[in-house]
Amino acid sequence: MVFSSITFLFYFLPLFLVLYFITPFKNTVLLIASLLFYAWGEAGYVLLLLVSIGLNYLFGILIDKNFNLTKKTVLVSGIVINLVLLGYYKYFNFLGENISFFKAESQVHLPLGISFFTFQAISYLFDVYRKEARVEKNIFNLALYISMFPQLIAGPIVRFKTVAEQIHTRFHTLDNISKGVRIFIIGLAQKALIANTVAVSADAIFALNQASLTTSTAWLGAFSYSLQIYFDFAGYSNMAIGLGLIMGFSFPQNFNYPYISKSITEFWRRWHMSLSSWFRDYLYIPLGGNRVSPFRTYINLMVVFLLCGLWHGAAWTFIIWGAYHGFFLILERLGFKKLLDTSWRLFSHTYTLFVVVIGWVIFRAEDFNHLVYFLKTMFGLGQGQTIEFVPSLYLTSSLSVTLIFATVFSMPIYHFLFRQMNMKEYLQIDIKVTILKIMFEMYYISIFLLSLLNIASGSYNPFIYFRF
Amino acid sequence: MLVISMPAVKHIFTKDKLKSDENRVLVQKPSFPKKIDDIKGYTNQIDNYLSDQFGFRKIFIRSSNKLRYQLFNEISSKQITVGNNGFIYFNSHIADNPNLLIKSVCNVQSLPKTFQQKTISLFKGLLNYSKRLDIISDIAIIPTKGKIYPENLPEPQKSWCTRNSPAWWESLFMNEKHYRIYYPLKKMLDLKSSVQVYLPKHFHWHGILPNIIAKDIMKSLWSIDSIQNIESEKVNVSTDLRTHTLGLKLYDSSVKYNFDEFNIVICEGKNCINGIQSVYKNNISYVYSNPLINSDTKLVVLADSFGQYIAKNFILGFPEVIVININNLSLDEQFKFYEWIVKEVKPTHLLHLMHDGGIYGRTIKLERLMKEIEKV
Repeated sequence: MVFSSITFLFYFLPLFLVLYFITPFKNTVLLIASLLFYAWGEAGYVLLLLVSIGLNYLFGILIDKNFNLTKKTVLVSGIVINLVLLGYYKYFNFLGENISFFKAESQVHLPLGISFFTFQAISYLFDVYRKEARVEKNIFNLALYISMFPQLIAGPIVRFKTVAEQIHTRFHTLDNISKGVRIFIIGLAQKALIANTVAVSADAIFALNQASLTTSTAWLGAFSYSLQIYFDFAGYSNMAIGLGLIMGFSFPQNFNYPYISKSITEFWRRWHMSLSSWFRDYLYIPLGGNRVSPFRTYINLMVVFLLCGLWHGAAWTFIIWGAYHGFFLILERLGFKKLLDTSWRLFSHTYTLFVVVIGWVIFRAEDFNHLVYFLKTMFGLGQGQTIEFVPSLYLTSSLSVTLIFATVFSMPIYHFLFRQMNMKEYLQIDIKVTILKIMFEMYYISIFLLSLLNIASGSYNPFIYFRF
Repeated sequence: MLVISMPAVKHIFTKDKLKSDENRVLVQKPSFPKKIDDIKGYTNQIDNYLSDQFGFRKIFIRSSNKLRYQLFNEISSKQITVGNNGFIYFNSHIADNPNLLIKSVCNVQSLPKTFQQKTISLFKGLLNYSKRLDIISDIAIIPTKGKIYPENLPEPQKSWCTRNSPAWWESLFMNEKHYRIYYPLKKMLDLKSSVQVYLPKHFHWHGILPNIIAKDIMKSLWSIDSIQNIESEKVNVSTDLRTHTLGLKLYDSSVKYNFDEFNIVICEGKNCINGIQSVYKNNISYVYSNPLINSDTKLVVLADSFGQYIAKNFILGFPEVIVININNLSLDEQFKFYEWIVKEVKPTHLLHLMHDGGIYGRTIKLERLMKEIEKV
């Protein structure tokens, strides 16, 4: 079930919210709803989710109690078991394609959200091991943390220490509910109004073969996909954060206008922040981070980004994408970042966007051949000479307007306006604030209704991040 | 909360869940699975069911279409292209392959040479089959709107269709000396200056053009003069692309011919021709009889959806006209149906009428038919 589906929006969500707020057993309602939510998409793999919960519960207890084993050994065993589960379901087919030893007759199905709930489970073990959070003795509460439906299948990756207390005690205030609803609406609009619209051209252009693809069309595809993946994923994260807030949970921010970055280093501080901080805290720092020799730091960076690429999917293109970002991060550490910091803002911004957009082409390509011909075409070395698949075929009025809005909304204009409004309200300078406030409310209502119209009348709705 | 719960509430309390403006039956409630393995499929079915049946769905779709049309001059259906000057174009019969029809008729996507040759040979075979039975048999191909009004298409479709590049079949058919193919492209282009050849909001022809073309077919192919001109009146007609334009009120002004003075006997429906149900189950047929014409001729028009608009006009030259839409003719029915037409209905004239975007589909269907004919 996806958040922008009819089933979720018009049936699951209202029923859940009614039950959640009228019963005193909120965690029970939330846990049952989360398992039902998962079973709706992956009925056969609820057992796997429950096994993962059970195992991590046991490992948590073992780490806490320290039965005849060193804590580290238990932690490592727990992590290994989690990674074996993830590895089997996510990478077995990939290994089979590349190493004959792993070749199997039947394909292994990739259960929804396994990358997310496995990383959350590992975070639990780490947090208990580091004593950053208390062990969860109630298995239902741990089950709730791992399977909570808002972030179960596409993040953000919520650390256990972030929500451990909230699972036991949380407050449902009108202010939080109202904030949550607003964030949910923003996320829904990002998905339904922007991501779904630009997805049509991105999908169509990336599906073109070598003979049909022209340079201008390829750039339009790359540009569309760059906006699609941002608004799709940020939209989903915002919906999850909003739903969390409605239920009294504070989930971490996952995106902070990544496309305004002036370096790749900054980009990764703004893009999928819950994942990059997970890798930083649970992999990069344990590897030594940047407290080791420069050469070792570069190796650590490359290892982290290769694994980050692999986390996104079991394909060579994802590994290349990880290595590509790792390369630019190392380059920036070697001194290029200093140059960027002192250079003209437009140059550093253009460089970052260029690297990121090319990165998304690597990320989106179906395979290596697709990647090569797409990139070659983008740089004028393609073979496509066609009157059929020219940019105007895709660049409809609605897409053009959406691209403009998407570009504008990928910058912090909204936050700027909001800040201005709050400041004026605080200082009581301007009575126009009330009008502005009403306009904001109208804006939320309008984009909510427009999103509902779009979802109700359209069929294009899959979330990109379900692939990972 | 109220807004998102209303569709479910309306759904639960509404009983009439079968109506659809979408030319399809909406998904019905699936039965609960008996095996655990079927649960995955069941949840998908429930998703499809709810997507089709949620409350206020029609209002949502109509409002969305209206808004899109007003704001962007676009129609949600990928099969429709909105052009300039109020023109809309039907661009493909297949939702997953937009622009296919326009690409095909404007020669942007040509078919392999072997397929083109096969088309010619199959059409020849079909004409020969009727000829052997002493039936005057001809083919009429009607150019569609993109070919006639390319200037109102948006880019890039406009560029595709203004190149003056003949469609792949044009040159092949036009070089045939022994088989007459009626293809009124030039005539229709010439007519543009005096009449509305295609109505802006219609895919099919309507009003004046079918009347002109019917007379021209009778004259140029069979030397039959129409009995006289008939009176017409102006009417407003709703677009024939309604299933793609829900919520939009799209009308054209057209003309309606008054056939009352001819005492025409009209039958429209599945059972208009005795025995047809035994050879063609899902037929749509029209039979027109004109007692004012004293002749022993009988015309059968085997057509696509363009047939019904021209049918009545042939009554100006034939005492009896039978038009059958063969779009729903299954491959299994074909041979029996054609045999029945030539042996039981026994027309003196047989016209195979199709629009230029339908040639590919007709060729595919003909292949099996001709194999069965050759066996006999």
